[in-house]
Amino acid sequence: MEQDDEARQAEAAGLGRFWESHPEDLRFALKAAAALRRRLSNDLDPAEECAHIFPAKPPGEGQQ
Amino acid sequence: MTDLAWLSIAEASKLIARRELSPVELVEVQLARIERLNPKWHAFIRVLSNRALAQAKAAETEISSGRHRGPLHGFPVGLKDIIDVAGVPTTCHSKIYAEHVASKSAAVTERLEAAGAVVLGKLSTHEFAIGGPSFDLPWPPAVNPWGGAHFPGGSSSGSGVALATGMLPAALGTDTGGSVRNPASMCSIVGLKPTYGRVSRRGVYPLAFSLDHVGPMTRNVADNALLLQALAGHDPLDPGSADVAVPDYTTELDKGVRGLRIGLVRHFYDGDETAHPEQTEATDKAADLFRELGADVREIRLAPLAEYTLCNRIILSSEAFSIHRKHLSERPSDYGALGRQRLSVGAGLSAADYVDGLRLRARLIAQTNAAMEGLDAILTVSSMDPPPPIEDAEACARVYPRQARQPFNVTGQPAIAIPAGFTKEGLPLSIQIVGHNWQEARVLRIAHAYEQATGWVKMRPPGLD
Repeated sequence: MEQDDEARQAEAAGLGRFWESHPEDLRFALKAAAALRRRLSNDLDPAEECAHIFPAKPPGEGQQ
Repeated sequence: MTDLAWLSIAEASKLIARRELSPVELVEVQLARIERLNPKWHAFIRVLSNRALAQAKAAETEISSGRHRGPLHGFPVGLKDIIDVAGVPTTCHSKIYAEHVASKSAAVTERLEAAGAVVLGKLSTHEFAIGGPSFDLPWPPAVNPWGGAHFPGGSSSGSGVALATGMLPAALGTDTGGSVRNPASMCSIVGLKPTYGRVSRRGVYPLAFSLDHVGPMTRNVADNALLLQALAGHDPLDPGSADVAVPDYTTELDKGVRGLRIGLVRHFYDGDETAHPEQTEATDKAADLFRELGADVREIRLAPLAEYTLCNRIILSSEAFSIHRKHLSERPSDYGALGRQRLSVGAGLSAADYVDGLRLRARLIAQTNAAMEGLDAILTVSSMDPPPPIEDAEACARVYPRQARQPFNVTGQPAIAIPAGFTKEGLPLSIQIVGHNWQEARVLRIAHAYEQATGWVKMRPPGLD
């Protein structure tokens, strides 16, 4: 079942051929991504921060 | 005369300007050294002998006619092989790009050549600046002479090794999660990641657009300032390039640190992570030395290191997958295993994850700026560990992510890694100094004061010559 999920995820990402030839590498990458996602938690108030995410000058002052 | 292979930019420039040293002679010395040493240390993917000799001859003719362009005129440099030179392959150390010939030079190549520098060759990297060290690519990985056959860090590994072995006196690297500062730390050289936007990335193969920086790698801090001087400046063709005035990076160098305020970020290496004890000791000793030299050093706290690391990895993985998705879907077998794994992490992340990474980034930048208010710079570690043997894949994989460089790719601040001694086994240790945006001159000044007081940069790997 887990393998079916991974295959579906690979297909959705356009990596069907990758999955067929290198399932272990893609499995490694998808597990790494899942681990990153689990650690992401965003508890900021979107109304307060919205102006800061896509400013004209990311990420420091003075940039285009 | 000093061994020509180990001349600094300042030393060589004086000799060349006085016509006591010919650029051709200097280039020939380096080429002979590359021929002798590169088969063992694998710093170069491609040596541009004929092109370099022609450039050196042209420099010699120009200088003889009375036109000396400045400190880099006739001076040899190398480029990490993701940086374009017109008419020369940019392989990215990958089978995917093995036959790819650049049609135009990168902005940094143009700037170096306009300053009169001679490009000696293209240097090893981790595949696409991320997949390494790998033994399943068309070229072998660069090997660190410190320790005998150790991991040189990465991804600008060839740049670090070429400098440490005396094959080159100066090189360019790129830094998305620490890839200039990592080889600097591992190879006992000096590597600067300038402020995001300070140096153009046009013509440099991207790893992650919003985190990528090009940086100078040298054997001492003064040379780093001279190289940065040639690289820095606005490029309207790089949308990430900033139109900010470029100061003279050498005028502040000798001013010392008396009266400067430095924040020691100790929790990165004694709390969030636990660094190798000799690395911890070297960093604490550096703090003491700065105090002795007259700086006000106080411990400060930033966000936990893991927060910055998470942010860097979410953004890097998402942007890198966007860049590589086509090749990963069509030619997966043409990547090495590490490149394939690391570049496809983004396949498992969503658009919302990426935006959450950007939101986290905004918060971390604000927190870092607040913590640095009233300070001139931050002192912390670069790597947590000295380099392991390169053949020990498990040790390399363990050491690779144990670092404190990613925070400053997230914030975009200038950060330099400089040598800070050696372990009892003779393996390099380093420290990292970080400044406010656009204040590379202050960072270089602090690093120079430390270098002058310690002299670690004079050490060379045993058994080379």
